[in-house]
Amino acid sequence: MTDAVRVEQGPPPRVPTIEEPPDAEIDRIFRGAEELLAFVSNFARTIAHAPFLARWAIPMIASIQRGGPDAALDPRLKELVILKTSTRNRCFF
Amino acid sequence: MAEAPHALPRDHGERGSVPLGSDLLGSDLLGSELGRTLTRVPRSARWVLPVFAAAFRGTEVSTLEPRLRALALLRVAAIDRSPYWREQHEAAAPALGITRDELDLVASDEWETAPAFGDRERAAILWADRVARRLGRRDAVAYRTVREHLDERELVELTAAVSLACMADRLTNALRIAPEPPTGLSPGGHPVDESLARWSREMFDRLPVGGMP
Repeated sequence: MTDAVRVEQGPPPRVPTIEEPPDAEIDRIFRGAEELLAFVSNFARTIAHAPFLARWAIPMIASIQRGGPDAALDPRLKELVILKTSTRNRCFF
Repeated sequence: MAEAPHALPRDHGERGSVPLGSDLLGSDLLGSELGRTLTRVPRSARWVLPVFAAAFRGTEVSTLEPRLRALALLRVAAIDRSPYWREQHEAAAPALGITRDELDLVASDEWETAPAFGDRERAAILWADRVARRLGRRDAVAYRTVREHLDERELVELTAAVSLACMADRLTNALRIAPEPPTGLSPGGHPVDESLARWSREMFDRLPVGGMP
């Protein structure tokens, strides 16, 4: 599975990812991403070019994809839905 | 013939315990069908509603013009056949100098050659069109065109706004949320201001909020 994902990675990114936070605002966003999702993904490093959106979008994704105390769907079902959507959209991320 | 709404009870969800920043987003939004639907999942609504506001209304630091943003969002609503968002964004159009003719053009395939739109606007509509059609990954011509007119930050912001518009279209279409009076989630002279920015920083400082893993 991992190999297949690598093979399908395709062309290089169109916007460079932010590797080192250039200011306190983006640093805070990266720390938030790490706290929520355990690491700073390439998605986070890209959308951080628009910090105002990143501040909402990263927790939004975490809150939708992850479970929670009041989540109605069990995590296995949710993961299956996410995988199905990514496959349908030809998204290899 | 009007579609019957899906059978979702019209309660507000458990939003009492979750700060939604309703005073900052506008009280009309939480009272709307869209707001009432989303607040059934309050832990997500807390982030989804503000990100829609920031992406669709724009922010004070954005360099994307409100008119350009509206045209891109209208193109997405046309592709996704979203009556909800078409009406939301059309309501904002007159204040942005978008005419009835331009609304018809952007909803049809004639926008590509219409002299009504400037080059930067046409590039943004083109990019929105390709992203909404899920062709953004491969379309080199559309990418080159949009990069001639938008810098890197603007490209990320436009792409994020278009992607969130696609998400919003799927949400309102699949749940058959009926078109309704403007909720304030459109470009139109009211960019998200510093008070919402300040609130978002405070929210981020308090992560993870309410036990969200």
